[in-house]
This record gives sequence, C-alpha cells and structure tokens, in this order.
Amino acid sequence: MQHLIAAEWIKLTRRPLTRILLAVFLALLLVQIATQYVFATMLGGVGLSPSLAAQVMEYQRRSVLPGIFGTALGHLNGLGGIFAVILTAGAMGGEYSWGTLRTQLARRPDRLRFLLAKIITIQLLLLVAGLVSLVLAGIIGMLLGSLSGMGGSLVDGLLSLPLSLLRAMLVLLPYILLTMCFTIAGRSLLAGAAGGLVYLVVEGGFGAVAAFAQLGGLWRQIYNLTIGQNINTLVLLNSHSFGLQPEQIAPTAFEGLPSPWQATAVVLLYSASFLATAVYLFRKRDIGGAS
Amino acid sequence: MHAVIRTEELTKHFGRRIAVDRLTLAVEPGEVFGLLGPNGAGKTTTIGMLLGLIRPSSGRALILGHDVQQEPELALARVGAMIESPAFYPYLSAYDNLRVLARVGGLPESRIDPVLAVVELSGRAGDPFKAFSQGMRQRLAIAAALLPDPQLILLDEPTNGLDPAGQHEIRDLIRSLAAAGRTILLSGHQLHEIEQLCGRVAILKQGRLIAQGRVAELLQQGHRVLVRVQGEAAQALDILRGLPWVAGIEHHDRLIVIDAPPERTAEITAILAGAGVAISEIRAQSETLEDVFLRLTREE
Repeated sequence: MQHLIAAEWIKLTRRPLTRILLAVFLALLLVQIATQYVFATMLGGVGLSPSLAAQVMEYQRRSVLPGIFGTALGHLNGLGGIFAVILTAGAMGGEYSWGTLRTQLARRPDRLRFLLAKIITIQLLLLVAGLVSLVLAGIIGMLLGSLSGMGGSLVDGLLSLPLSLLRAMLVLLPYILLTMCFTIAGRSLLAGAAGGLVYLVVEGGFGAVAAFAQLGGLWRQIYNLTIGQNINTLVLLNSHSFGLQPEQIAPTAFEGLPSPWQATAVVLLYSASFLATAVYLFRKRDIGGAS
Repeated sequence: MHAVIRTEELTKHFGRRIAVDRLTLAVEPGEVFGLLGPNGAGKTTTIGMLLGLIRPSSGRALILGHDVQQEPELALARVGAMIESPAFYPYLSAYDNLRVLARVGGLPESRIDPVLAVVELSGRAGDPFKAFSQGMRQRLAIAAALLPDPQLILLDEPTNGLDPAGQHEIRDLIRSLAAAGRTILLSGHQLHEIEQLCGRVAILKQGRLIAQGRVAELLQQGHRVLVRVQGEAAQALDILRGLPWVAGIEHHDRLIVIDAPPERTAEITAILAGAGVAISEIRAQSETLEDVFLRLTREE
C-alpha cells in the first residue's frame, strides 16, 4: 500500500492544479483574517448595540491567538471543502481523461488498494494544507496579537490542535468520498466536481426539511441525520476549542444541533456508505481508453 | 510448457453488442503473434480482457497458466502492455511517469534507467511528457511496458500515428525485443508491419475469429494466376469458368485473375492455347497478407 501512496503523492504534489488550489486557499485565508481584523479594529470601541459588540468581539478573537486557529480550521472546512471536491475530482477524473488508469491497473490489478491509496493520499494532502494554514495562522495571530495587545499565547491553542485537526479531516471525508463516487460513475473530472459541488450547495439548506425542522420532534431528528447538521456540530466544536463563539454571529444556525457523538457516528456512517459505493463502482466497471 | 496466452471461449458483450465472440486462441512462448482486424473487430477489448481491465461476459483468459480474473496478480506480474495511445501524466517528466508506474507495480526504481536506455530516451528523461513528439511518446510507452522485465508484451497498435521513420524505429525495437526471447502480442491493422514481424496471426472480424495460423500458411492459401490475353477476354473466361479447380475468377479488360493453385499455370496455358486464345502474359501471383485479410474480412 505504501508504494501506491508514494505514487499518488508524486502525481498529486507535482500537479499544477494542486499547487494552484493550495495557493488560492492560503491567499483566501489571509484575506479572511485581514477582513475580520480590519472590521473589528474599525468598529471596536465605538458605541455599539450589544449584538454588534458581540460580533466585533468574536471577530477580534478570530484574528488573534488562539482563536485564529479556529479561523484556519473553519476555512479548511468551509472553502476547503470546495477545494477538496475539486482536488478529488481532478485526482480521479484525470486518470480517466488521460487514460492513465488502464496503464496502472494493468500493472497493479487490485482496484480496492488503488482506490484506497488515492483517498488516503488526498486526505494526507489536505492534512498538509491544514497544517500549513495553521502555521500561517499562528504567525499572523502572534503579529496581530502584539499589534492589538489582545489574544493569548501560542501554547493556549496548541493542545487543542491535534483533535481539532482530526475533526476537520473527518468533516472533509464524506465530501471527498461522495466526489469520488460521482467521478467514478461519470468517469470524468467534470462529473465528479459537478456532483460534489452541487451536493455542497444543496445540503446547505435541504430546503423543506430545514423548514420542517423548526417544528421540532421527529422533523428535527430527521433533519439532524443530514450530513450538514452533523458537520455543523463538529465545526462548532472546533470553534469552541479555540474560545470562539460563532453562535453570537449567527445564533439560529447552530440551534438544535446533534450531539458530538451522534455527529461523529453519522459522518462516519455516510463516509462508509460513500466509500462502499465508490469501491463497488470502481471494481465493477470496465476500464476503457482515454476520454 | 504453458501457452503464454490462452483464451477459452472468451466473450464480451457491451449491452446487446457482442465485442468479442467465443475467442479461443493460444500464443506460445517466444513467438510474435499478430492480432489483426478492422476497426471495431474486438482487438482492444481482447487485450483489455487479457489485462483484467475488462471483465469477460463468459469464457476465460489465462496468462502463463493463471486465470486473469481469478489470479490477476500472478497472471500479470510479468506482463508489459501498451494499449492504444500512450497514456501518461502530461505534467510529469518521462522519468517521473516511469517512477509512478514503478511504485504502482512495486518495482525498484533501478529499472527506470535501463528501460529508458532501451528506447533511447535517456537524454530526455527530465522533459515533461507533454513536450514529447508522438514518436517519443510511443517509445516511452514501450519503456513503461518493459519496466516489469516482462515475459509477455502486449502492444496495441504501437506505430499508430507515427511517420515512416518512426514506424521503422518501433519495428526495429519490437524485433530486438523478440530476439531477446520475449513473447509479443501485436495488435493492429498495419498489415505489412504484422507480416514483417509476426510468425502467426489471428484475424478477427466483428469479434469473431475468422482465421488463425502461420503467416506463411495463410499466404499460401491465396495463390492466384494472372493471365493477360491478346484479344477479347470473353472466350477465355468461358473456358476458365468450366475448369473444376478454378475457385473464382475476375477480369479487368484483358487481364484475368484466376483463384487457382500456381502449379496449374502450365495447364492453363495449354488449355487456352489449344482453344486458340492468344496469351501475352501468364504468371502465378502470391497474395500479400493485406490481400488475405481483405479477402477473408469481405467473405465472412
């Protein structure tokens, strides 16, 4: 398996698409931090309503240590989700469009291991992107903390980082696997990216189900079985780990969320079912030429 | 000793279309075997099934005695393949592309330099694949096929898209691989190439095997006698059509092409001369593989 992961690592890290995605991801993280800091600095201290004052405080916490780690992980689970979809669709879709899949499967016919190696490598790459963004955020957080005279020390956040990073990876997993399913089913980057991104958009609301959830009871329980709700729990946990309180900015978005245990179990269950579907499709289908 | 490739009633349906229909053939160790057929005959599908990329609908394929579906790792461990056009990562160098394939196959990286040297790409190992000419791409694909030090090499239309010099180069390379004792399955529709390189061939049409055998034997089946008469051809045609050993006859103005064994040439001369038909030319003509191929694929 490590040979396959090493091969995937070469393919992914040398690919221009990967480097572009990482650069854009980090640039947008910088923009987000800068916007929050400027917003908080401009409005801070002026006579504000209690709710606006709470928002300003939250933005201040997000710009300095340890809250800035929460910002970086939130960025990874927000915009990073879109990038993960594109990266996954590109990693698998490219194999179909270039015809490289048949060359490799003719060399190593175990399709299960091939697919697992690809998924593990994508997760590893996202882990590296997460680590890079955390290092960058840590440096900026220290700078902004010393400028504003706010924030805690680096050590305050470091202890929470391993578990939070693991949670952030878990949040990305179902999207990666779902995108893999779409890419294999459509045998193309376009099918994978479109499927994954459409799902990201659709699940944001889940329209009628979200509205009915307001009625509580069974409706709420059903709504809390959607991926989005469970992921919101995990993202909120990550925010809390670094002293952030996103509820103060969007109070209704975090009402009635499932428990952390349920969230972990449901996300794992979705991931397992997407993985099983991807493996089934990949093993069952014939491998043709380049498309 | 096992046949290197053996297929038994190998069949593949894509929906209602039959791509390969009960194909049974055997390729012996050390031979260069040609798989011929027009486009859509089922050659690439057959190679796909031999490599485990396409699941047969029925029948089975064995490589070195191992069933490709049941024991793929054993069957394909010493198989190199180039399927249709060369497929590599455009942004990676030739070396890195081979490095990826070596790692996928669990092969040592020390195999890369020797195979690049065989295809004379050592000097361009660091160049990205997207900068390669078609000929260099084909050679890199052959280098990739050689990575596992294969006993069997499957080459699907290896000279496709190459200029005459490039085709010549690849043919020389295939000859040298064959001379080194490797078994080669060569698929294509470049008939002169197959004729030059292969000892035996199988001809497919619409997924069915319509002929199989030594190239020399197939060519012997198709001898013809050409007769050019001086006057009208009508009288000669009447006489020739009455001969029991004439299998077929065509004529173009004064040239008559008779499907008949070459040893009948003297007899034809005597019969026509006896009937008062003046002959300006008569000669036996062997078919090329292209003639055999066209005749067989039209007949079926």
